[in-house]
Amino acid sequence: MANTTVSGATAIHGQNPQFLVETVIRNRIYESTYWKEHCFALTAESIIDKAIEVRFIGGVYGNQKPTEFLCLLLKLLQIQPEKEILVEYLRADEFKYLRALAALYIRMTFRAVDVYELLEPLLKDYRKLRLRNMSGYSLVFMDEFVYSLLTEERVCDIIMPRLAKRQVLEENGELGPRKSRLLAAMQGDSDQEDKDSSKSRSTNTMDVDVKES
Amino acid sequence: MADKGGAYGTKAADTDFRKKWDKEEYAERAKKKDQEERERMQENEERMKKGKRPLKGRKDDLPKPTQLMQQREAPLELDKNLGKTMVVQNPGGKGPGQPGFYCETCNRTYKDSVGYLDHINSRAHLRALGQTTKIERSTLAQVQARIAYLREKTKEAASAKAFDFDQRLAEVREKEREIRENKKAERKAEKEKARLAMIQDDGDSEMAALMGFGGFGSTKK
Ligand SMILES: [Zn+2]
Repeated sequence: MANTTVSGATAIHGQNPQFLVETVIRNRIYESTYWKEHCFALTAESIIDKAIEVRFIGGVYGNQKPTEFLCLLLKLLQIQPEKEILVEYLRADEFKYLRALAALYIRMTFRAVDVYELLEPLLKDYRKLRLRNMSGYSLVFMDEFVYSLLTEERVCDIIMPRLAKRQVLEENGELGPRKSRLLAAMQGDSDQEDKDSSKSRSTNTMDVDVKES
Repeated sequence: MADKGGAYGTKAADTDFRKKWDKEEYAERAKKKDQEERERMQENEERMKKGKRPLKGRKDDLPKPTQLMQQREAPLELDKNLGKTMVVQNPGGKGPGQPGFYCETCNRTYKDSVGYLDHINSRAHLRALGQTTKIERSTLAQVQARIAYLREKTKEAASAKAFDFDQRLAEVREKEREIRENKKAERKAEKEKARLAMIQDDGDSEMAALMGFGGFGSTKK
């Protein structure tokens, strides 16, 4: 149905994925016109069109009205696309709001190791995003947003599920040290930086700088 | 009164138009209904044993849904008549021409956009459209193709915009140049006129005029 989680969905953090958005806000979304009119029957494919039309990120604003960004997040939780599809969203670097949406979804639903591995490269994406919340509009950079996903308890009015500390994962040998990874990526980059503008390569590898366009 | 028999034995000719009960047919129908009901109950009992919700009786005999839930193709344009005054054709009736939002498929009208939206997202409406309540699962390939397509589209849009801008700029420049040239020509013509007038009026300066200048300073006399 319009609001039910797709059948055969796997529980995330031990519950229906849609419950990751707390009840009050979730109901606000179900009641919103954007949800009813534009989010109906969206698939992992057709949601892309909606995500690239988004003009700001954020949770709720004004009179507790959910942003389109938040509605689309709930839709993703509802339809639970395959992991590779989320990575594909993340890679489409010209669509920064799609990327931001994917980043938030990945943070909320993926294993900690994957969260670090997929999101840390985005700490080098310095593009601006518009943010709308109860206090109005503001600007935030993609790297800032991703950093808040990795460190804060609440982002876009959503409580972030617990994320294992990077250090712990490193000690368990599940995750390589971040510094060397970054350094390697940077060295790899600086070799080519002068020759091409790194734009086309970003579709193949995640470890690239993305410049404001 | 008495000779006409009981109230149910009347043979009055003026009620002949009434439908006669076809007892056999109705008995048959009732039997069939009972049979269906019995089957449903049996099925429900089975379901209850398995801990499932019992099925409700079927209201209508719509064909089985053949499609998955589909995204609406055209925008709904819920506000297209916003602020307009509409003529209501058959007030109090049913069907189209009523104030509000009309669903053609189900022949129902809703007073506001929210009621209408809830309806067109509802199971009943989808059923009438022959759709299930399940959505299609997109494949990775579909997603990749969509992103590639949108990438091209936005690129095109961006270059079209840039092209438009360049063209517009060129047009503006061309126009400005034209205006400048017209002014120049005008000024030239005026000068020429003044010069000719001077030649005619002023015989003394004939020589000067022939030499191409009308004298220094004021040309007034
Ligand atoms: Zn309908």
